[in-house]
Amino acid sequence: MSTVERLLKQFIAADRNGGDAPDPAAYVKQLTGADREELIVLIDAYLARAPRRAFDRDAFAASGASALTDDLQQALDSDAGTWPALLPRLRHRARLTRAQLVSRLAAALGVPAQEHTVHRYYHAMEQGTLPADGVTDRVLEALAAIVGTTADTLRRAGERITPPPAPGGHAAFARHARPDPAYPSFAAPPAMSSPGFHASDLRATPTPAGTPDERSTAGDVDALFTGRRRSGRG
Amino acid sequence: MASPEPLPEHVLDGLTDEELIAYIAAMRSRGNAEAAATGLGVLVFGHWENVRRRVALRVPPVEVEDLTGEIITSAVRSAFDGTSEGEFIVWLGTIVKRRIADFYRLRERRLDTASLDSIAEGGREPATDGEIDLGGYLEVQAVIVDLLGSRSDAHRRVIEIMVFDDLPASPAVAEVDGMTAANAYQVVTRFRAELRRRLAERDADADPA
Repeated sequence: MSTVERLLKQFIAADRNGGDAPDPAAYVKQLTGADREELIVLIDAYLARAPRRAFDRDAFAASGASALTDDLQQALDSDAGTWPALLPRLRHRARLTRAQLVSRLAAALGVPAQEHTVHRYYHAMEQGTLPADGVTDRVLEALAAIVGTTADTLRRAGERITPPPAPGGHAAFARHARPDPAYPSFAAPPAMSSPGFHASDLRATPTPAGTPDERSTAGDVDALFTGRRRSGRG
Repeated sequence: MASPEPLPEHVLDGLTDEELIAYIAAMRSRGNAEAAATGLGVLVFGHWENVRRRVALRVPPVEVEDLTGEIITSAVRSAFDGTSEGEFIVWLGTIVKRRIADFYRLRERRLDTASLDSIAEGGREPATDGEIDLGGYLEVQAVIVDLLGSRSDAHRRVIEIMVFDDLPASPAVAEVDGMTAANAYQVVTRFRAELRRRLAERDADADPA
């Protein structure tokens, strides 16, 4: 038995033991060159086929899965789709604080004097409280360039999550699910509520005094973050 | 049961991904956010470690948790809006590969604009391989896809059972019509040899010296 084969068997055995998930790096680091690459490929292929791990409430609470579940739960009912789950992680990967990101975003949008307003809007995006359909393509393109993704990815992530139409009133997830007599049909989710969002909702504090040009850019910021829905274009 | 009731975690654990997703949708549609959250937790936790470890094989440690979160977010979203293709675990695997490739694309762009020294600071190289690039990652992915894809369904199943499930030949013989133990071992031996040869060729191409 080759060393690669032996290490793969050891890794799989440890993974199925039911305890802590073994770290592939501990196995892979024992090899170099083509042997290392072979083991990486084989462990990756094994993990791609591995079944779900059994639920463990303590391990869940201690893992990143817990925070992600909270974010996803929020996202499922949000007018901003999965932005609450996605945007903070993209920002973190870009190694930016929210203040740093907002500063760059305001500059990229050409409204550096309105950083505080941009901050409120961006905060609402991360919280899932700003309807995504109002945010213009210009904002998403600038944001995507800052955090290293594409505007299309952000646009799609921001779409409200609605199940596909259920033909004949049957299960919305029937095409994914194996037949199970316990779940013969699922009602459609509640209809999408009207967001009823107004730009002024985010103006908790008055726009600071400034030159006429600075005051006018506050309106520009509103248009950038809420104007798409009104105008029907980005 | 026309109106599914909330289920305990140990029962949810026994559902397939597709059944679990349908259950979460049903609980949401009934306004039972707590039950939906429990189901979502079982789904996310169940895949978290497997995805995280796949990402960690290719991505620097500081990026792993966030990228894992992005991948699962994308997969869950697709499952709930009906845009995923096929089984959830297969779709999840597709997203893992896409997002890791995106990571390398982004890193190449960053390398165009930042110094290598600043990128390398703070343990930002993968724990397992500091040399791989986008081309290398895609090549390696292509190797395993090609190798498995070029096998017949029967031989691919034998490889899954004996290599990735780490089982002896007997389950493969029992499951695959006409397969003998000797044939099964031969299938696996050829697979391993070809994988090794293809990876060695790739290394030679990457480093002709």
